[in-house]
Order: sequence, then C-alpha cells, then structure tokens
Amino acid sequence: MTQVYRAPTPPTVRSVESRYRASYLLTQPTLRVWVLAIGLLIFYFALSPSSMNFGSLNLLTENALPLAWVAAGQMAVVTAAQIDLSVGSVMSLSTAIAATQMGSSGVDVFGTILVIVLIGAALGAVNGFFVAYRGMSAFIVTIATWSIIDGLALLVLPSAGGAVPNGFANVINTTSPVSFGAIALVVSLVIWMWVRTTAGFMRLRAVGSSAEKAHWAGVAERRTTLMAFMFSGFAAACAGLVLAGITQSGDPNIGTSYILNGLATAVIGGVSLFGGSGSFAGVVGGAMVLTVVNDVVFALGLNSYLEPAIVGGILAVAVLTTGLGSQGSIIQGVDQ
Amino acid sequence: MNQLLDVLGTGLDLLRSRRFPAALAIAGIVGLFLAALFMFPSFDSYSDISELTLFGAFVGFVAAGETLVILIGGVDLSAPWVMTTGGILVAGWATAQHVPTVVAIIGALAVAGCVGAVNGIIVAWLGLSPVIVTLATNGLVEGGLLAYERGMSPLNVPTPITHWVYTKVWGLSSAGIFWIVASVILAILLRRSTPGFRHLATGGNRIAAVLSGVPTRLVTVGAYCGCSVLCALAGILYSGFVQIPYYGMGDPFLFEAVAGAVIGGLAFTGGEGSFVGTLIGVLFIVTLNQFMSALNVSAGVVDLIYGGAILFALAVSGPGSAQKALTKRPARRPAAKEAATP
Repeated sequence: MTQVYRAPTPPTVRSVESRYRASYLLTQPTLRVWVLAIGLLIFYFALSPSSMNFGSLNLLTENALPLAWVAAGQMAVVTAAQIDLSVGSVMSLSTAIAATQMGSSGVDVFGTILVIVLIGAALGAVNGFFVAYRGMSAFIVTIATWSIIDGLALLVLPSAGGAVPNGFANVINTTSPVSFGAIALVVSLVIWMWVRTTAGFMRLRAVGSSAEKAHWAGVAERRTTLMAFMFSGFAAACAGLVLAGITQSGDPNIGTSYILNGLATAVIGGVSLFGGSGSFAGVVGGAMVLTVVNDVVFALGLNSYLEPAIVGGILAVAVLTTGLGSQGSIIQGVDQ
Repeated sequence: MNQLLDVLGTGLDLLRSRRFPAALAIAGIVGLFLAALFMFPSFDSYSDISELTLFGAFVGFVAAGETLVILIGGVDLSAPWVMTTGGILVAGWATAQHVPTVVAIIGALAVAGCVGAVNGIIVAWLGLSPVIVTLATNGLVEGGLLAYERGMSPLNVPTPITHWVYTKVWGLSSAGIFWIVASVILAILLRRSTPGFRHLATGGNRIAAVLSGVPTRLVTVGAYCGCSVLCALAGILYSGFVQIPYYGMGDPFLFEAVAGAVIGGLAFTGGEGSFVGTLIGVLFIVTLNQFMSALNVSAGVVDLIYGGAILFALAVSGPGSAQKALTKRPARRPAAKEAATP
C-alpha cells in the first residue's frame, strides 16, 4: 500500500512523435467526437444517398441546436462538478410561456423572449443558491426544482398547444441560404472561442477540479457555482425558445427527453463528469452524433425503441474511454 | 434552568438531525389522515390504510433499493427499466412458455441481479460516476428488453401473483405487509450485522473503510445488485396489480422513490439514513398522493407540492455532511452542560 512518488517523465522524441499516431485521437475528446460525428454522417449518406444534399445538413443543424444549447448549460454545471436535472422542465416552461404569452407585435416578441430568458436564469439561480450556499446535493435539489418547474409549466399550459407568432417561427425555421440552427451554432462557437480564454471559465474549471483548492487560491467558489447554474437555466430557456419556434407551439412535457439526452450529449462531447474540463466544441459534436444516430436508426428501418439502447451504448463507450484511470485516483490508490 | 437548557439543547439537536424530516413526515401522515377523515365522508380509514400500504409497497421496494445504493454514496437511475423488465419477463415466461411461476420470478430477479452487478462492477472498479453509468444501463436494459420481446405487447401476469397481491391478511394488503416486514428486517440488518456495518462504513468514509479492511468494492457491487433485485421485485408486484404489465411502467416510480427516501432523512452524501426512515417517507408520499387525487387537484399542483415537499425536507434536515465537515462547530449540548456543572 506504500505509494512511491514518481517524478513526471520528461518528454522524449517518442512521446512527442506519438502525437502524430492514430492513438493520439483517443486522448483528444473534442477531436474524437467530431471524427465519430463525421463518420456517422458518411455512414448515413451511404445508407440513403438521396439525402446527401445541403438541405439535409441544414435540417441536421436545426435539430441539433436545442440539444447543443441545453447541453452547453449542462456542460457549465458539470464542469463545476455539479449536475442539473431541471433543465428539461425549464425548456418545457419556456415553450409554455412562449406559446401562450407571446404577442404579435415585434416589441411584444422581444419582451417575451427577454422575460423567458430571465426566468430561466432566475430558476437556475434558485438551484445554484441551494447547492452553493446551502451545501445541498445538486442531484436532489434539481430533482425537486424539476418537479416544481414542471408543475409551473403545467399551470401555464395544461396540455400541448398554443401558438407562437408567425414572425418568430419564421426566423427560427429559416432554411435559406443556411438554417437558423447553423448560424446560431457558428455564432455560439465563436463566442465559445472567446469564453474559453477568459478568467471566468478558468475559475469554473478550478472549482470543478477542487472546490477547496480553488477557495484557497482566492476563487469565490460559491459565486462561481451559482453562475454556472444560472447559465444552465439561461441556456435551457434559449433551447426552449428554439423548440417553441420549431414546433410552432408549446408543450409542458417536451423537455423531459432533453434531460438525459442533454447530459448524454455533454458526456459524449468529452465533458468530464468529475468536473474541471469541458469544451463547447465537443458538445456541438456530441449533439451532431445524437442527431445523426436518430437519422441512421430511421434510415436503417430499425425499431425506434432501439434508439435509447444505441444512445446508451455510445454513452457507455464514451464514458469508459474518457474516464479510465484519469480520476478518482485517491480512492483507487488506497484501494489496491 | 439546567433542565430547561437540556430540553432546549435536545430540541435543537432534533432540529439539526437527519431524523427531523422523518418525524415531520409522521406528523404529516397523521395530519393528512385526520383531514381526510373530516373532509371526505366516504373515507373508510381501515380499507384506505390497506390501499396505502399496497401502493406504498410498489414505490417502497424501489425506494428500499435506492436507499441501499444512496447509503454508499451512489444512485441507481436504471431502476425504471429494471422494474419494467422484472414484470414483463415474468409475464412472458410464465404465460407464453409455461415456466412455473416461482421459477419465472427467480429467473427475472436473477436477470435484474446481473444488471445490478454490471452497474456495481463498472462503478466500483472503473471509478466512474454512478449517475452516468446507471443512465447508460437504463437505456441498454430498455433496448435489450424490447429486442428480447421483439416489441410485442406484454402478456398477462400469471394469476397466482395477481391473486397474492390482492389478498388481504387481517384486512391489510399482503404486499404491504411484505414490504413493511422487509424494510424492518433490512433496517435491523443494517444496524446489527457485519455486512450492514460494512455498508455504512463504505458510505460514511470510503478511505477509512478501505484502510480498516472493508472490501468496499464488493460492498458496492452488492448494493447495486440488491437495488436492482428490489426494483425487479417491485416491478413483479406492480404488474400483478395492473395484471398486464406495459413498457415504461417503471418511469414514474424512480421520482417517487427518491422523494420518499429523501423525506425519510436519507443523505445523498452517503452513510446517513435508514430503511425505516425511507418507509415513513414513502408512506407520506403515498398518503399525499391519495389525498391530492381525492381533492382532484390538477397535475401541475401535484408536481409543485411534490417538489416543495422535497425541498422542505432538505431545508429542515440542515446542510449536508460535506458542509458540516467544512464548518465544524463544537456541539452545543456538552457545552451547555459544562457551563452548568459548577
């Protein structure tokens, strides 16, 4: 059980060279998920050559957008080593409010969008308060708020229906020259390129790696966790708005499937569930993978029931290849 | 004065302890019951208690399984589809292939045990997050079951199970009595047996447990196995109740079970909680359910009250033990005594 300290091995020609080997791919989560996504896309196009055109790519980005955004929020929370299960209900609530309250005039639409996004951030702040300032388990707090927000969504809109103004739906469903989804994804990727260099994101990673060490290094770890939850609520509200635009209506239950799929997207995208690392570029790749899997299942004529099993399988492989040996080392070291 | 301080100190300790939500839940159950007696003339207390224990048994076995896993600091999200698998496998084997009912039940429980073992081995040996591992197995079990059954609609559950679930012993439902007795036995085993101590030690402080020679990995695998078996048992009982099991029948149970366990004072940090607490929490959830369905409130309000109840239980049970460890304060009661001695 004695542990011998080993100095890190200095880089050798061999270890630097290995960067150019295929196995290097496996150590780079973002690269790996994009290779998987593009591979799946080629497979899909091989299965149904008729859909190999610009239009189907547009449709793909449109479907991937809500998933990518909700997973971006989840990524922020998971990077802080927490979890947010209430994102689905925030999406449902957003579609419910959008389908019932959005007026027809431009000012009304923008006002409602602003209110919905603020509600999302406020609900995230509630989660963050209980987790960061009251020391409660994020898992159970967000299960409780999930139920509460679901209840609110059902009170706003008891069953699927309502309508969003045409102008709003038209913007979301734009397909020419490129879809709204593609533009939004590119814009959010550009924003990510900036965010990943900021001190705020470094603080988030520090808190996720070790809240205690971050605290002693002068990071306001509670406020950082609170901000992560607020961003998660905000991102879920944005994703809900997109869904309301795509479906042109509201549905108090639409978010349920996005809870697990959003988490799966983040994990497949290379976000470590132990906290401390995550990349939105990987998350977009994860959203692409899940969306293409959906199409592949359809193109192969498989029973749609098999989709959860395929997603579960990809998730298991992603987790097994990402998490192995890298984390939980304290316990593993003692366990021997 | 000293006695007054003592009483005050004990009161404060109760307020800060994990038992407080369970005590409140008992008060809540009694309160809801009395309210039901006055508000609904049709309410017949005895047969309604029987019904409550019957519904409690379905949620309760899942909750007992989750308690087992949460006590060691994990969680099992594969419960819904393991539960569904239990019910549908028994129905398929016993009705279509004429396997004796007992053999079918044992076979289904064994399948569930294997799923639990896979969960446990991945969590224990590979050190992966239980949330994501059990989430993945939930999807895999769902796909596996549908592939095995080839998507055919499930068959009837064998009549002996249905018959047994509807049997009443001394006016109480037999499934309910089974659940209560099993919970009490589990509670005694947890506090009075070596495996129970090992279980609590693993959840309380894993590193200390390893250094004391507890086989923490085996304990982890055992906990996930036990959880899956209990979930499958709940599925078999529930499918006996509804007579024809259906795909996705387990989905609502995970939420109610976790809610019940938390209201019963189970800490998500592991090592704190008891099966009797979970029993009380589940009874509260079921009573609340029945009360709200009698009041005919809308689904939205039901969700609001559920979530509110969990948050309230969390709030009154004080900060989690991780927080406690960071902000260690001297215990209040000994200090009061010390001051009073001279």
